[in-house]
Amino acid sequence: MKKTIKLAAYAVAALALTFTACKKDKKTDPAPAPTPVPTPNPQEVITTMKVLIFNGTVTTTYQFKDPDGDVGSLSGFYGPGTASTSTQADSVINLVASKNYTVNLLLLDETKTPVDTISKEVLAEGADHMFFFNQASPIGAVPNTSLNITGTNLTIKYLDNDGATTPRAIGLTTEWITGMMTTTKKELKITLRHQPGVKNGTYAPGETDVEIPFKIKIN
Amino acid sequence: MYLKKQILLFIVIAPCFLVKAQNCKLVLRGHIIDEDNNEHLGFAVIKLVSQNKIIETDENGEFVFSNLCQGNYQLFIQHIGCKDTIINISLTSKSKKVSIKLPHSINNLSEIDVMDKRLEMKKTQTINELTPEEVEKTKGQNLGDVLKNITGVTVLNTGATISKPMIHGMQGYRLLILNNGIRQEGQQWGNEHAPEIDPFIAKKFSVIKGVNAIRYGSDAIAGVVLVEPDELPDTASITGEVNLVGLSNGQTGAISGILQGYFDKIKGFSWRVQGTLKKGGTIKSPLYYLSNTGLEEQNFSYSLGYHRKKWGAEFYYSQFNTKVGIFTGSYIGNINDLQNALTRSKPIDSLAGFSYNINRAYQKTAHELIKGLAHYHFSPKWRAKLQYAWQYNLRKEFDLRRLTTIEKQTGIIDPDLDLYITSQTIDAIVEHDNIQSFRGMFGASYMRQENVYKGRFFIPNYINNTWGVFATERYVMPHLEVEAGIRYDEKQLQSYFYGTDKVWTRHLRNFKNFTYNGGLIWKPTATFNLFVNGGSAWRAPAPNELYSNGIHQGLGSIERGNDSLKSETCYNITSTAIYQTKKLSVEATVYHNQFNNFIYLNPTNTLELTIRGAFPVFVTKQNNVRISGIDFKTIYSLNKYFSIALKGMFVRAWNYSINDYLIYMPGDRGDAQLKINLPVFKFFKNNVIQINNSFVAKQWRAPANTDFAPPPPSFYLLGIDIGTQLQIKKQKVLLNFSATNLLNTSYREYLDRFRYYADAAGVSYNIRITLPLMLYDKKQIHK
Repeated sequence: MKKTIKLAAYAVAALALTFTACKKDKKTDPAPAPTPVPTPNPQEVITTMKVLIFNGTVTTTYQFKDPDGDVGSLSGFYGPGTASTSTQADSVINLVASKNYTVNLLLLDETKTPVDTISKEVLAEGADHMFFFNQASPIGAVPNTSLNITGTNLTIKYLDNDGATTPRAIGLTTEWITGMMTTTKKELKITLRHQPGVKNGTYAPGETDVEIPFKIKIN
Repeated sequence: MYLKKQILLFIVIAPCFLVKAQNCKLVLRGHIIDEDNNEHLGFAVIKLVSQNKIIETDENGEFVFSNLCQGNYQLFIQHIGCKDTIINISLTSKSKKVSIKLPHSINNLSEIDVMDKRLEMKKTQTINELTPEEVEKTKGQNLGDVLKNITGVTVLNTGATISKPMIHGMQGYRLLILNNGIRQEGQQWGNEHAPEIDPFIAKKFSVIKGVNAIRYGSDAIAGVVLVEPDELPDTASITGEVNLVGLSNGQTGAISGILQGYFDKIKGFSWRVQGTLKKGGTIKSPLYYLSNTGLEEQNFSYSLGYHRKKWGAEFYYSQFNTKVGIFTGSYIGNINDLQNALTRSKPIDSLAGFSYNINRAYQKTAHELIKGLAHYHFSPKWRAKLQYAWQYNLRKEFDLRRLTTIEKQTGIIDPDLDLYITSQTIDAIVEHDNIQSFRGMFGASYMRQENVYKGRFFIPNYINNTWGVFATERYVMPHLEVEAGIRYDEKQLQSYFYGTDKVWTRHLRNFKNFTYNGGLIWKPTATFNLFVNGGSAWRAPAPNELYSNGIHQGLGSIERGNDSLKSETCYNITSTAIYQTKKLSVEATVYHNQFNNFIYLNPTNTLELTIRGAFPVFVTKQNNVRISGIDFKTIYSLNKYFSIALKGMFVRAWNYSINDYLIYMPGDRGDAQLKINLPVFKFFKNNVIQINNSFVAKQWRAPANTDFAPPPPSFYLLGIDIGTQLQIKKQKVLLNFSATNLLNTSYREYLDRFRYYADAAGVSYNIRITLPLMLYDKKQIHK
């Protein structure tokens, strides 16, 4: 019984001390930061999407960057060209009429050193991923999966294969076939869908990992 | 509840057949004692109803009414710690002496709890409490769904497995949950964070407001939810209880057990151990499975008590562990995904079928509580109590995402969001009983809380110091009680931000304010009581409201805090009228809350482009708002077999700054229950059939163009409950069969965050078995 009273007395004293201590805190420097140090994003962050357009002789690169991951700020279009540093609110991919292009999509995590190439993971998990253009589902089985982009004169043919039991395209490598010249720009939204266990060649299942609204114009 | 008399009354009245001439010199003497320990119950208030005479018992529990005529009298007895009781006495030619035994609802063992309840008993706001019957029927459900049965309480759901209680349209930071006397810390970060409490521990669920809530903190704007276990035993015995629950939807099973005892060898020493295991699989809505909605839960607790005449000490430890799957259909990448999900009639998922597996995304949560409590009686009227608690809350969220090469190689997968919160609280309270009709308490509390995160940023690391002092007093008169309380709090929030440049930056915020509250209770007759209460409350903005910055997973929005938020203050007035007779009871509450700087997430109508596409931006904002409403509950007993209960809840809220409704307020709802008490049949006792009808109206009072989808339509749900009690030799068995959503109605509730993606759960057939155990009893007097 005595012990408890003693204990209670200590607790009251401690309480009184903490009250005064907390008053003091305001004047002096507050306590140091709690440990452990937060590990900023050990997981992958997609910061960059590059669209590499090869016309048979040269590669033109269009890119979108979101340097702080998907927090939202600082994002924008860079390019064409690889060295551009200024962000743009809009990006128009210029294509030439009646031509065939080989297009590669590259996803990077530039918060890591060295830079992590996310598109490799996408390729490795091809059966769970697929790229879509303007949210439309392509038609035809591999290797003849293709899509006509409505509103402009562009056909996109998927060139890769996810190697699943029922093989389906991924869209990391595509062939863009242009038709007649167009007078206006047309939005070309490139979307990477993560479809674990539900990939069926259509847009609907799964959720969006990357979505960039580029624009195209056929000159 | 007020409406249910749980108190048994034993009164010895000699039968009388003699009728004689009027004699108005009769004397009625009485003696009131505690049924459990034969203690004399002093200072009990006794009212002779017809004469409107009110007296108090003396210290020996004795009372005398003199100069009475022959006839029938009704006595209305009130005693602290017991519920109001009415008994009938008939006086004949002779003066009479009666002996009245009141089961003192609180055992003398845990005197500290007696003190607590003494002050909570007659207060200027009503107690809303679940009856033991209701507790029995909700076993196996999560805390939010258990509390939903209290008038005025609704829930904010995230699917079928995560629910947070909401009182009068207010939840989260505006609501305090006291888990065995300790503020539950760590549940407030987000709407999808349910309180980490095992409802099987508790025997009592109640909601308190007003002056009585002041001692728990300034931030109990909507009220305080008390979740309390039974008192520890105080007679030499070992008792226990086994609960078995099976729910057909989700094929959920739960087993929970309690064992408690009192050693007769060590006088004053009592103990209890308790544990729960729960597992559930995929929940099914009427038309499809909601994939990945399984859950697992493992909880245990133990407590020790040691009590002497003048002092006592208690120790309590509890642990709560859960793993909850997040419905796959709710996992969306960006606003387009959300819009596509909204237009679909059912979620797309080829995996949808029943399974106990919990895949990504899921949450893993643990909560640990250590509590020590000591109390000391200085004198018969003065007591002190000191309480220390340490709690640790851990939350790990695993998103549905691609694993990195390293994770695949090593098999070590870190959670995407990892939060640890450690809180320590000290409470010191001194209280006094009747000093010239004044009763009161004052005290101080201190809390230190530390938060540390890893992974995705949601809230920063912080150290939060809060201290407060309070005092409450009550003046008791026969027909009127007046009560007032005041509290002062200071809070210091020191946050630490870890920048991309690996440098710590700090941000300090200080908040302080007064809280005051006053109320009165008017009891003009034994059948009518009026409670009026008014006061102020405030709360400091929370870390996520100040600093959150990023995409809210699963809601397709970017949420931004505002680091210059001020404190939110509220002025409220509540009034409750209770009318109660043998056949009819009516209870109605009217309330009004006027908020300054009400903190909420406001859509900005801008889309921000990220690598994942466009997201709408929500910014934490402060506005002046009001929330008012009416709750009512009425029970009418047709005869001893049939009774009807009607309940209604209506909340009205308005945001003055935008001149529109306040978002996410519960829609109007009503419940109608028909209860049939069947007579004893062979071994079956307490046979009850209850038919539950609930109707929830569409919440059309929602602000225009701010939500992703319009509020869902009205719905009606039918449920049935069948309960009975079996006596197999010495073993009592409580059985309950029930069905929820019996018509398998497809519906979506406005306050369910998953209403954007899928229908709520369909029909479920449930069975609950309770086995009270009596392993050892020295006195053999207990049931």
